[in-house]
Amino acid sequence: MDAMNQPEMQQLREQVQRLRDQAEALAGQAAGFPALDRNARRLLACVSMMEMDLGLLFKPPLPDPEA
Amino acid sequence: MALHCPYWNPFLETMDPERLRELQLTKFRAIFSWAYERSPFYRRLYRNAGLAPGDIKTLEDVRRVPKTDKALLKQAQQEEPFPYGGLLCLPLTQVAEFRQTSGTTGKPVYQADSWPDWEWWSEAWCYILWAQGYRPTDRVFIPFGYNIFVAFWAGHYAAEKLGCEVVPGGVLDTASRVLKIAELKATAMMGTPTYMLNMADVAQNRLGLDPAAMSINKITCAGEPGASIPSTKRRIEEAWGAKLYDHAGATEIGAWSYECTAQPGGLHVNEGLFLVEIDDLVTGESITEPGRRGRMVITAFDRLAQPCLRFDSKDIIEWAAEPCPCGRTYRLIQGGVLGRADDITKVKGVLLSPTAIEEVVRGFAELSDEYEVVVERPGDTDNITLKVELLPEAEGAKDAVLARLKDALRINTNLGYAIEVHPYGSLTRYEVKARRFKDLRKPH
Repeated sequence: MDAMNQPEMQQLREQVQRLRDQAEALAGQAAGFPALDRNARRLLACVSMMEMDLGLLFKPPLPDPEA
Repeated sequence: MALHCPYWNPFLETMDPERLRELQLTKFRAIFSWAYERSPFYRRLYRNAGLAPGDIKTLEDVRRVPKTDKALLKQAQQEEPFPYGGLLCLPLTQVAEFRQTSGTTGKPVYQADSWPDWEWWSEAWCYILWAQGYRPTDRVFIPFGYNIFVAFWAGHYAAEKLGCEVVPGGVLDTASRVLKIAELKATAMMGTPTYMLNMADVAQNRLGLDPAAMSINKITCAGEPGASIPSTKRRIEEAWGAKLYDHAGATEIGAWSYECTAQPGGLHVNEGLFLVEIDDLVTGESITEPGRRGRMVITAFDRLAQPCLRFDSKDIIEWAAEPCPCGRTYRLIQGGVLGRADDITKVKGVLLSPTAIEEVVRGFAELSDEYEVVVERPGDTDNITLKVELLPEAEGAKDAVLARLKDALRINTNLGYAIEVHPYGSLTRYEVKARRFKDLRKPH
């Protein structure tokens, strides 16, 4: 039996999505600020793990800022 | 409180099996599309098979997807961009980690991992360590020379992630490592089964320390099948006075399986992160029932820079009949990885797996941990020689031990052996993976 119920899972997924949105926004604004840019990308890698742990599909990593 | 949860991921690890299969299908479709769209190698492979994203509608359809193997990966890496070739699905600028396979069967496979992939490695290892009882109260000693191979890097980072204190025992010799474990009162460690035995031997016979009286209470082994071979497992557990847990993983695949504290006699497949299929050794048909051995075909769902889809690992496995009492719904493979398809060889017309010899030898308390098997064909028939070391205290019982050993080998492997007894301490001691089986019949 699943250890967690659906509404609880949905709530967790929404919170993780908000984290992703925040980290992506941060990375998007940090092109001239390497420390923020790289840390936001690391944060996004952790967000990806939480998404995976919640049974969500992977999302492609952000493209390089100079690409 | 999260610390009391027996599962790293209570959502995935206890998921209803039917729902888990649905999730696996959805995830397979996603990684299939990713590889098709981003990798010239996979696109060519799938186009040649007449497959495109959208064609995979059921788990049965997955079986239409062409398999890969080490030889194909090596071939793909002859292309640009160097050194990963057509397998790469992200720009080189997003590759954060390089690792390679050991290359024991020729040129190694190079493995590219992006930062999310590197996180994924340690996340997969968190499932392993949590299931084996690692908690923030543990001081984990890693007696391993971290290097270009993937071994134990992710174990290190996973132990950190779940809150343990990690002691990297890299550039130390064996005696120094043992002494550091004693000094720091480490509670857990990781290594190959061969090296765990080697360390216990050094502690006992060179340093005069009883490893069982030291502070280690759990050991995670990988790299060799020994931790799931009952006699080897027993030997290591008795030597260290600790629980020994197995894990199987590979550079090209990831950390796909783990034993839990219930020690059910097998490994859980991390089915939320991987799809494991078993193919019949002869016919190639899919094996879904327990108790039938076949070769593993595996897909990693979330590895992005250099994906792993339907990889024929040549590992021999079988599904277990019973679920694990730990409550995980992830299926078990009985007895861990039972051998490798390319290790099973015919000797005197009999199929022989080196793990069967290990199970017998390690069951003799009068023998040391080391042994070596040599197969030769001087004329028209195969000769198989087993080299062993008798412990000094067992010298008086030599003839009786050898007679029992011959009988046990014949019963368990259906073969007769020439047995050579070597002086204690004279056979090679290995630090990482042992190479105890030498087939000298094959042309070099």
